[in-house]
Amino acid sequence: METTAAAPRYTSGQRVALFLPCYGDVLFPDVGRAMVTLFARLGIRLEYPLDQTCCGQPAFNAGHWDEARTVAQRFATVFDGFDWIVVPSGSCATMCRVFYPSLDPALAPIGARVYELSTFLVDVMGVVDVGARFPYAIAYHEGCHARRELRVGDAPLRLLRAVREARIVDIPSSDECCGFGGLFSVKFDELSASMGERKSANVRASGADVLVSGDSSCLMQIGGLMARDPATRGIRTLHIAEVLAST
Amino acid sequence: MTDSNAARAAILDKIKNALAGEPPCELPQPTPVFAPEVEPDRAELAQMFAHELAALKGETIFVQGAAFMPRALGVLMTQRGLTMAAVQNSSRVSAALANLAGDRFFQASGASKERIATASCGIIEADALLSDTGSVVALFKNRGERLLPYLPPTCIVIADVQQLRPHMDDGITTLYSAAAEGACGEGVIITGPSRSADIEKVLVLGAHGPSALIVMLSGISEAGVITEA
Amino acid sequence: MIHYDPRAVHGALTHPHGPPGLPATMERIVADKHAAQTQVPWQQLRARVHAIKRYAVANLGWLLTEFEKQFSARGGTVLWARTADEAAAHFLDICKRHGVRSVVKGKSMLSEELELNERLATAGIDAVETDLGEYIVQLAGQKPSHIIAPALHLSRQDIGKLFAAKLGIEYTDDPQTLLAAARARLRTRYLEAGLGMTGVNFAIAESGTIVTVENEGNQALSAAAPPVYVALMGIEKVIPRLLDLPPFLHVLARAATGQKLSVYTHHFLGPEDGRTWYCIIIDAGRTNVLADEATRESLYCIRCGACMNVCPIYRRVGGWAYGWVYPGPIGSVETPQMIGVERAGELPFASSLCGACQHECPVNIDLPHQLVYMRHKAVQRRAMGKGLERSAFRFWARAMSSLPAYKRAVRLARFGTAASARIGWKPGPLAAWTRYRDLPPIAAETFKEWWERRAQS
Repeated sequence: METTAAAPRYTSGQRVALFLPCYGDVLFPDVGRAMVTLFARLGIRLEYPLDQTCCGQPAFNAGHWDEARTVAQRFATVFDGFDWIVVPSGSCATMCRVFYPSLDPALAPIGARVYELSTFLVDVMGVVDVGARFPYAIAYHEGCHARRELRVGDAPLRLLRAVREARIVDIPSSDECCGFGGLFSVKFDELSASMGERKSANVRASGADVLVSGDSSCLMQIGGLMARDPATRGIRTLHIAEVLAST
Repeated sequence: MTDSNAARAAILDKIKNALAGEPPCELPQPTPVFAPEVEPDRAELAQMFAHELAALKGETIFVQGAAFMPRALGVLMTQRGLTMAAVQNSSRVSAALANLAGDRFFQASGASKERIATASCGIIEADALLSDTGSVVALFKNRGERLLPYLPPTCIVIADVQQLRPHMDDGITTLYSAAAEGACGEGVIITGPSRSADIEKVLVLGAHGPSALIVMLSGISEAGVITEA
Repeated sequence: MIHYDPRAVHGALTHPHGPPGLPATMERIVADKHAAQTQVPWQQLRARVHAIKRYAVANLGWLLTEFEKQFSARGGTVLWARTADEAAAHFLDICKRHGVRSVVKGKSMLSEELELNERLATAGIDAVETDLGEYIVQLAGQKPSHIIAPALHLSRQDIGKLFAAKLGIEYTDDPQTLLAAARARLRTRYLEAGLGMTGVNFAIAESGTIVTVENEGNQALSAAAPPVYVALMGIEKVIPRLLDLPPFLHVLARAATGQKLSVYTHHFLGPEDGRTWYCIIIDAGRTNVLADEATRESLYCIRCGACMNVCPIYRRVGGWAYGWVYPGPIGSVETPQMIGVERAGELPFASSLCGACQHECPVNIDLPHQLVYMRHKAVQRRAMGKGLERSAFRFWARAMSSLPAYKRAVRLARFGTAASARIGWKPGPLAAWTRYRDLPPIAAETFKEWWERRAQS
């Protein structure tokens, strides 16, 4: 999916569902609340099907496709009837948009209705200035799925540049993976930590006050490492939804 | 004795089964994916060629015309201390050797590989020159000549500006013609002197092939002006 | 089973000379490649080579027989081999037939698959690698660690000591001097050998001719000096026409090292005056890769090494960690595809699926998708994801299948983390995470709980 003018457009009155990553419900509820606040400000009442649980990606990436398929098929049922499904995660959006057909071709239509947050705002709604204010130095880390599978392009940066009083700084070697990779982070923990440490050092070098990303999983990895090092402990991590919700 | 025919039948069978029911797909037309936008003039092509080859640590010597080639070659060989040359049996090369004493060179065709290995330089003719990559396209049809661009430590190429082509893709047509006419031996695109970076990624010349590659380009003055053919 | 040993990984990450995958060198190579690819319309070239390979692989049968017909018409002999054993047997037969006692080898990863050097040695035939990097690792009695730069893992001091010990020269760590020593030794070998062999980069079906590329000139001499020449090719190397070649040439050297072209692009036409040529066409697991539509794309690989150069895992652990001939991302998918998930099923799991490999691949092979697919095959065949993990995912799927089950799981997680903190013991994954990183706590109020509370008020 590319950020082109050819993306379909949201029209007022259409139903928009909020889909949260499974771990997001439990570990990062603030991100969900920020999504509700942000969309309310944009005039959209987000609906949240309480029955939702997960898109199936953890099992899919681990090779357990039968379990993944079960969970994905339930996803399709839970989110049936919504014109748009927006998720604050490049990883989850990738699972739905790119990999659902591998599990079951019948899942392709529902998968195609799932949009990562920044893509939904910029390409589908045509909005770049969401009326946010966030007076800090921000470094933006792009998750690999968002970068390479979804190809969200510059949508996140365009949103952040419109945030009042925010200063965007660059992370050196920004296209390198943070090392999360789902279960990779615990199965190959030392390798994962090594990749994360390099990313942390680069975040520190950027001079940012806050590390922002479209994926809480990346923030969990990088933030978790930065918390252990006095030199980086003071750098906050926030999801882009939280920045965009700030006033 | 391993049965090649049985293996052949088995492999082709497995391939057939593997691909059964596959929808046909198209092979793209073999047109160049890109081409130089504007065909530069011959003088520019020569400069581009020399520039590319220099970046690879090869050398280009502009020679006024084919008539000046024997002298230029003689000077080069003296300057570099190239006492004995193994040469390709071709009209351009033979013409270039006009000044050279008979005991200073020998025909590679028919010579033993041991003898060719003793030569201080190999002299070959280009079939084409590729400007965008600084490459020489050459063809060798017999055992001795096939060793010429590789065994001696210096390789000298006799060429003319009329042989310059702007685009690497054009070099393939030369190789194509050779294949089509049933030639044997080897066609080769030579792009600079031999090199290796296998030791700590440090670039070193003259790995197995020559450490010096010199293209003598006739039909162009030292100042870079195209002369009469 | 090729296994990622955590101790070996630790050793690699804490190696005194730095990680064996040489990250700084790899960064430079990738930067060179990026600079070189801006000179050409890279995406269009990728699309073209992908389309040609797709066609070639989809028409493999008749393209191979056409190649065989044309190669034979030029005076060469084609032999076919289903397995590494058969290929090696052909090679030994050829040596016997021609009374060959010494062989000079151009670099061929396929010959590594066949373990050719060992088999020749057993038969009393001396085989010397002529590619400088391969020559060095052969002298050292090691396996290559990278498909393009086999001796990448050795410093110049290592090589200096090696040459002093094995070649009897005075110790030096100057690359030029070391090269000169190797060159001198190998020169004699080219002239004395009874047989020379190379791999094949592209076999041209329409003309029965062979294209190989190199920088050193060792392939040229291996192919041209001895009386007998043998080309080893995997079945996937055939392309239809000579005019299909240029886009491959535009991308191959750029992707491998950032050069516009390799120094020598050879087009071997046919046996010239009195020489004997063979081409051994080898399957060795490739038809397995072909048979599964999801893995077929692996066969498009042109062996440039770009994927491993950019891979954050390869850069840290180096080539030997992959346990077989092909390292890096392509190795992680092709090894289990060719030798089975039972032997190599763990390889695809050692990846964060970042996708840098596909991004760099000049043929645009969807390596991340292949990695996940091979994980699926490994789990399906019970080579991986067994026992506790299998049970865990079944439990997980049930927990995700209804709101009450999910809520029970959240309650269990809350209880579990509290208990774990009190007892001071963590289950495996939790311990692995917290060894290096803090973990955010389970929220006092989850989003669902907040949503429900808000709905009630």
